[in-house]
Amino acid sequence: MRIRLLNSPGFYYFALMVLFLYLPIFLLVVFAFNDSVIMSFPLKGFTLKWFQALPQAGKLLESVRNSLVVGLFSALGATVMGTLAAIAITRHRIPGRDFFLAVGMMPLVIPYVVLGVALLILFHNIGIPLSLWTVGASHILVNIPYVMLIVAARLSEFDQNLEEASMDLGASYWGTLLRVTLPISAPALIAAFLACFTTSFDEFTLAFFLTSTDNTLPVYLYSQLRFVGRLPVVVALSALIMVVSILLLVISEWLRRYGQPKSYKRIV
Amino acid sequence: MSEFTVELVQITKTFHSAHGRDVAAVVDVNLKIKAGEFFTLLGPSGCGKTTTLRLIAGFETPTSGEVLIHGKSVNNTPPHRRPVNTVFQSYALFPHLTVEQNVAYGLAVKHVPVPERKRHTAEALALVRLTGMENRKPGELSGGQQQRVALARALINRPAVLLLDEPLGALDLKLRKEMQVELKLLQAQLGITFIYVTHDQEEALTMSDRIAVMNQGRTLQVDTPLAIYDQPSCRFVADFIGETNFLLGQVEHVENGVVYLKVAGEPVTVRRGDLQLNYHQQVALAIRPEKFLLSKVREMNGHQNGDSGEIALSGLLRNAVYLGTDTRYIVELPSGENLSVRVQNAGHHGPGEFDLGEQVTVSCEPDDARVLTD
Repeated sequence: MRIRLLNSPGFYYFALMVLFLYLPIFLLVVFAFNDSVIMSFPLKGFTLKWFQALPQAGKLLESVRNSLVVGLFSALGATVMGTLAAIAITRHRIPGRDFFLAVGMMPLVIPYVVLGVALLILFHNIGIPLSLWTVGASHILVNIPYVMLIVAARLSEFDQNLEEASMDLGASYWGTLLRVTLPISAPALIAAFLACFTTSFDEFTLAFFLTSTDNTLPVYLYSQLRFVGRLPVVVALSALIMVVSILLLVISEWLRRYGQPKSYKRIV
Repeated sequence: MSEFTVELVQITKTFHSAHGRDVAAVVDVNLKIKAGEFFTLLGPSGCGKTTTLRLIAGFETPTSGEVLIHGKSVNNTPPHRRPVNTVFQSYALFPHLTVEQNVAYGLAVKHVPVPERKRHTAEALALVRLTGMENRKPGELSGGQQQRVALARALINRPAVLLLDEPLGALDLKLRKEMQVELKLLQAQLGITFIYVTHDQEEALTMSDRIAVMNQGRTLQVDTPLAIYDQPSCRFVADFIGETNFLLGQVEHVENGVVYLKVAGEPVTVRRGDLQLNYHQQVALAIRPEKFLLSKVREMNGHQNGDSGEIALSGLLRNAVYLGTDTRYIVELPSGENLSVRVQNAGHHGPGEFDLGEQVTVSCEPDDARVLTD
């Protein structure tokens, strides 16, 4: 069995892909603990000083906080709006449904650079000052299609009789939405929210165009690349963020599976 | 208040298909369903029976016509305000809720206080014999149990009418028979009007007080099971319910409700006072296989016996199939038509009674033959 695996060219292809994907991340973690400002081998020695320096890096932490706030609010906004749109396209016979769908999906194919410039011009012309709010708004815009796709997939896979049964038993339209449609779609909503948050958290282009003095993390990191001395702290922070996001992913996956009937687990 | 729980007045429902064509699912349906009645909508798939049910539930609005519940129009009443509950074919149990929460759903949305809710839920679960299953999820139940949860959930609101859309369709034969009896008992016990949709004619015959036979969106006959079976109004009804032989005939003469026909070249006399028939009109004579008597060829071969008025036709025995409780014979008439005859395997009757290719006489009482014009 093992011999056969090592003889297969597919295995080496797979190994190469894994290496290519995870080696940089591995190096990142290694250099976060390296006692040198220069990111190269040989390693100089183990240190925690970059992590210890984190609480003092005021601007850096502020940018992290900005990114978290923008991420959470824009993810919330995109999830709410995208879910409503998904309900509209899967559950109602609205006139011009296809057109609506096409327009809703547009941000998927518009390059962020173009969108960034366009929004910059728009905000300038209608007199909205650039801020984290404008960044958040643009993130809502680009995330709505993802939410629509994720939630619409879930909505179209479950029996519409469930909603009819709810109304039949005395629940109004909105009551049905709250008691049946949304709880059953909850895993998709959580998945959509997390996808939006991730996209927003590391989105650079739109944030670069649409922010003023408050930086989000990616924009701040980019501005710091010129200063070699500050790089190790950035690396330490990146390692930390990565560990937290892996933890979040594991927890959300566990949450998604937890509490679902056994019959679903086989499918999802 | 009207004596009828549900009335459909000139109901038509047209759907717009994706290709821009209009498809009429229900056409000019008129029904009056009495309080406490077990009423069945019977027909092949696509005949409009489920759409009719959905019109009563409020999931569809009629294109024209009116739905009345307790004598009042509910055309503009949404489903959640109608005193009607539905048992869905797919059961439609809420997968994220426990059995208890599913059953209590109707009370929960009305904000009935929790202790009262608990009490009613326990009663409803006891009614369908599911006590002890409260904390299971629907996914952990068998098909029969899910079916009963759906029933308890629909009954907890004490609806004026319970709508059942092929509720037993997904169950195996044995369980289905059990549930038929159980449903019928439950209906008698609760006195709720049941409107039951099925394509299973046997189910309809055994359970219903009255049946509406539907095809292509129209109701063809609305009557008791006995009348539907013995006095079908048209070929479709006679053919869809049970097995029927159709013999082509020609009207010779009509007098005082007695119809003189020529069938397979032989004179036949039957009673059918309620039909307007013309001389030489083509009609079909419908006779159930079990109404026939089969005997060895007689002296007065092929002629109607004047004394008893019995219909007798002669032919060749072509086939005999042993079916356990009875035997099915196929008899070929001189006209080339085949008759199906079922004879109970009792006493000296049995598959060995006749030889294949033998000349036999098939006879029945004139009242067992029904003249149909369409």
